[in-house]
Amino acid sequence: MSELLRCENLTKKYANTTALNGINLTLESGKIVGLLGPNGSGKTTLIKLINGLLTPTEGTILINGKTPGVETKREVAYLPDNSYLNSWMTVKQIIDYFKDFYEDFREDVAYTMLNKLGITPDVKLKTLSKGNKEKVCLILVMSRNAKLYVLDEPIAGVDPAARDYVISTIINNYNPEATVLISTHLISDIEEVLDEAIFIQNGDILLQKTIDEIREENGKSVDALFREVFRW
Amino acid sequence: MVKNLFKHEIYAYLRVILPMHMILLGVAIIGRFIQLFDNNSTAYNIVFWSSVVAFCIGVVACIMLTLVFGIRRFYTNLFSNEGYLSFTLPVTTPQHIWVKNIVAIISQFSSLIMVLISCCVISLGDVCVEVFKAAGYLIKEFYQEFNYHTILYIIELVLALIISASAVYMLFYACIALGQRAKKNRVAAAVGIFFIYYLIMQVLATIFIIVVSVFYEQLRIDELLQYLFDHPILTNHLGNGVVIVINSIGLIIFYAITKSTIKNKLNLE
Repeated sequence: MSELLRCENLTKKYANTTALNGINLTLESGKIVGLLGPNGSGKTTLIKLINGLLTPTEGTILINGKTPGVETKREVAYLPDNSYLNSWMTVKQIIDYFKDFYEDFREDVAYTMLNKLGITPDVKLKTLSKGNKEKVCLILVMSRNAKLYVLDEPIAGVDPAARDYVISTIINNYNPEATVLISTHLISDIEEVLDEAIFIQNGDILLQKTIDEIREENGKSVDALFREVFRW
Repeated sequence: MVKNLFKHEIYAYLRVILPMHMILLGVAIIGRFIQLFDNNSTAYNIVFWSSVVAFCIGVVACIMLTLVFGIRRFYTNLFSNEGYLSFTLPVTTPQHIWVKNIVAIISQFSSLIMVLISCCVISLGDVCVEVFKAAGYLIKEFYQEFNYHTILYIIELVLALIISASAVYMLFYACIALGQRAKKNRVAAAVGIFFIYYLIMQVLATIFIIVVSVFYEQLRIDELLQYLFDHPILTNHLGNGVVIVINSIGLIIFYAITKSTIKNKLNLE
């Protein structure tokens, strides 16, 4: 396994708030990693920095040895925590859009997944339900053969049945040599699929361990440990 | 990637601009059709003038909506939720800005051309022929007076128009980008920045006029004006040159502000 993501002394400050406080983090390829923390802990800031949507105040961030930019955007597949597609487009048009910009986009995989959901390519995105729109977003991201998948709250705001669909879509479609970074606070739903967990709070990394290590050392599940660590 | 960026940008414009152009053309055709029933009756006059008013509204709407759409497109595609997709495409910030700017200019000119075509359609017949005759006569006279300079003037004017249009859009882009630095009400902040810029320009222009008026004799403005009056060819070139240079400077400054703000201060909500 090779190193895919490295953050050194990564700091992000907004006016009077420190969102990330000099964090050091390394992720290896071929793993599913949970980025776990309560709301406002710095998860989304870290994800935006990885995707080049924010510039660090201090420190460095390297993806496959490169700072975030055009080259890393070819290798990182990102699912934001909000609906980001042009609602006037049809499903087919948005697939063509992804195909045009991402060389690693697998059109056949996308259509197969859409077919299974019963979503026709000619339907406009604005006519889809919120749940189906989120599923289309996930399908687009997971249809890429990326090196790093960054999924921000992919299961928040969806019903339990849809959560199962989301998780199975991730498991069945990601490139096994790639790393999947999933940000969430709904740990019990994804604990089974995780290889590693990162606990983040107030911009600091509290813990980064494999799931087996957490269970062996603490004698409890990641969900139980999370509730203990982040208890109010 | 730039090719794909152009392709999708043009498509986004076409789906809005094309129907608008078709509506304007339709209004022009209906207006011309109504003129076939000219009988000088009250009913005819009401219908005729209504069609003229509708056409005038269509012309203004076509130009204004193209401008507004160009500005709105920059905002929604880069700074609303769509920005999460736009800024994670393997495309650089300058590519985003320039593609949007170039397509906006092309759309603006296509709307102007459509307005001209519609004007020809609604005045089809004797009026249209006379207008073309007059335009041809003016160009001929102008060419006889200024010879090959006429071609140079046309090139300079086209260049000045393109650069001015580009600078206007870039000014709006810069205001929108700077407005994103506000914590709340970012659109309102962008509008505020635009008005502050406009106010500063007005103040500078007033100061310039006052300085020129006060130091009229020391600056030998009389002599300068007389010199320009005596050399019309040079004056025309100089006028075009000043427009091109001033707008180019503006364009460069607005672009630098937009690029630097997006690159270093991007913060999507």
